[in-house]
Amino acid sequence: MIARRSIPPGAVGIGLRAPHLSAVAGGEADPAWVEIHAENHMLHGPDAVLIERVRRDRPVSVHGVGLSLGSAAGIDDAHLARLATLVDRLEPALVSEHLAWSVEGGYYWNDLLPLPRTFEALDVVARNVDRVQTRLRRPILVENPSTYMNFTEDEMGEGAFLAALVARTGCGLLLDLNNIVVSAGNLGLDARAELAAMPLAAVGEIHLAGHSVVELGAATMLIDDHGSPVGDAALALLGHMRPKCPEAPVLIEWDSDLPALDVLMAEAARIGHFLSSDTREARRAAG
Amino acid sequence: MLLADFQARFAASLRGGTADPALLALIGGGGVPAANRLSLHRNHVRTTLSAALALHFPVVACLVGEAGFAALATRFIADCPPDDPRLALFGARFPGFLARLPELAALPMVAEVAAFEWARHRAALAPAVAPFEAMRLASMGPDAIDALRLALLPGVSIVETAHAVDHIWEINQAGRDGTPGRTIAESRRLLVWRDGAGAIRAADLGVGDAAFLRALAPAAGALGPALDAALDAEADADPGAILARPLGLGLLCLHDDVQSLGDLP
Repeated sequence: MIARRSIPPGAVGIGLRAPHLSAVAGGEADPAWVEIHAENHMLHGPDAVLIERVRRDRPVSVHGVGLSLGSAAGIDDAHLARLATLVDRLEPALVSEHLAWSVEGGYYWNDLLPLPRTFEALDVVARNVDRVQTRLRRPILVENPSTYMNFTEDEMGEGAFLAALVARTGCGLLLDLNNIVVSAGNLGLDARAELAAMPLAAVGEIHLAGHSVVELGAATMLIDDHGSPVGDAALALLGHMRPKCPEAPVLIEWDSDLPALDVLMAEAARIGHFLSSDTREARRAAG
Repeated sequence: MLLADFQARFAASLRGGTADPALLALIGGGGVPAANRLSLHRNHVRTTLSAALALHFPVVACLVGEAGFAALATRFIADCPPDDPRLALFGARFPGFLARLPELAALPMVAEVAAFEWARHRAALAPAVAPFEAMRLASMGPDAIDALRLALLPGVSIVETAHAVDHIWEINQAGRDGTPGRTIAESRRLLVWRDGAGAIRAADLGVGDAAFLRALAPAAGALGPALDAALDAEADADPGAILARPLGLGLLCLHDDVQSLGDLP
């Protein structure tokens, strides 16, 4: 069995998508670490050799998008078994999923659908996270998703929901700063206040990405499309919260309009530079 | 509203395209109407799944045009939503769906091309399994050979069509304009597989060859009865040649090597 390999503290990695897999496996680029989408690597097809080569050379994080932690009907046994097989095979540094649901009545809707933040939903998610952690024999990170609506039945904010989930299950937080910007923009909330409500002590990883803006009638909505460089608003949140979790690894997500690998690597380098200058400035400010 | 009820209503609105008033009454956020907020998710689901279909069926998309494909995809997503979270597997039922559409009754080759494209797609995705080496037969007696349980490699398909789908596929690749170089009104019995170098290949099969391979897949029959099935289908077939062809292409493996893998849809 391959030994688990940790991500260096504070390292900036990239989301590794199929068009770049061969180049990274072949050593054409040297990201500090990479994150893969679990569901893209469950068939053990020809790419399996490449991802194992990537894993041999650098830390890998496995990020699920189809487990549906928020499903009232529970976790699909067959899919959890597939995830467990992948995790056993790669021994990733981190395993993560979303505070969302996508499965209902046996159908998979390929979206991170919103969850009313009720005590009932908290019970459901906590039960499902427990089940996943027991099966994988490790804690997972749960990500705050981008949201486009809230619900009249909400009984708590997102930060309080995630803090309760962390306390009940021992899971960690995958803090997506772009998602905080998107959700706050779409719901008329203050992004810094939303960030402050998060259980920052539990942050095990930070996601950064770009988003787009669409006109919807007379209003605008922010869409979490991962199709551009990291936005200034997410970067400002990063600078603001970094002193509270300086060691959490940072990931650049880029999915739609995926650029050439050197562009993605340059974006990771830009964020790395931002973090090191930000750290220096923070130290200077602290005297 | 209980979470299970909420999720059932939300999923129904994604599938059916009409928003449930009880669901809309729960949605807030200020400024933007609830129905518009819901439509963001509906559109995201439709565009994600439509893009996956276009990726898996590029020649079908060529044949019916962009607008036609978008309309077919929307109907298919509503009729047959994904039943597996692995997006790469979405579309297994698309060929059958197209074959049942009255609007395409006059163009049966569209559904046949879809079946061929799905066979190519699943061949590309299939796990790599070591093929059974023909040399091993040399050290086996006739009874042991008859009882040997071989299976088709995962992802190998047989596609039977009334049209020359391989030719239609070829003339719709990049740099070609879709003009047939010969008649397309020719039936095909195509074996589709991924070769050792990773290329997807297709070759026409004889009746006996197809009967033999079908007897091995998916349940992995013993070699003797599978060869009997080939002779039942084609009395003057040469059993030696029928066995040698797939062995030579490296398409057979030991049943035990694939038993735990299952097969792709």
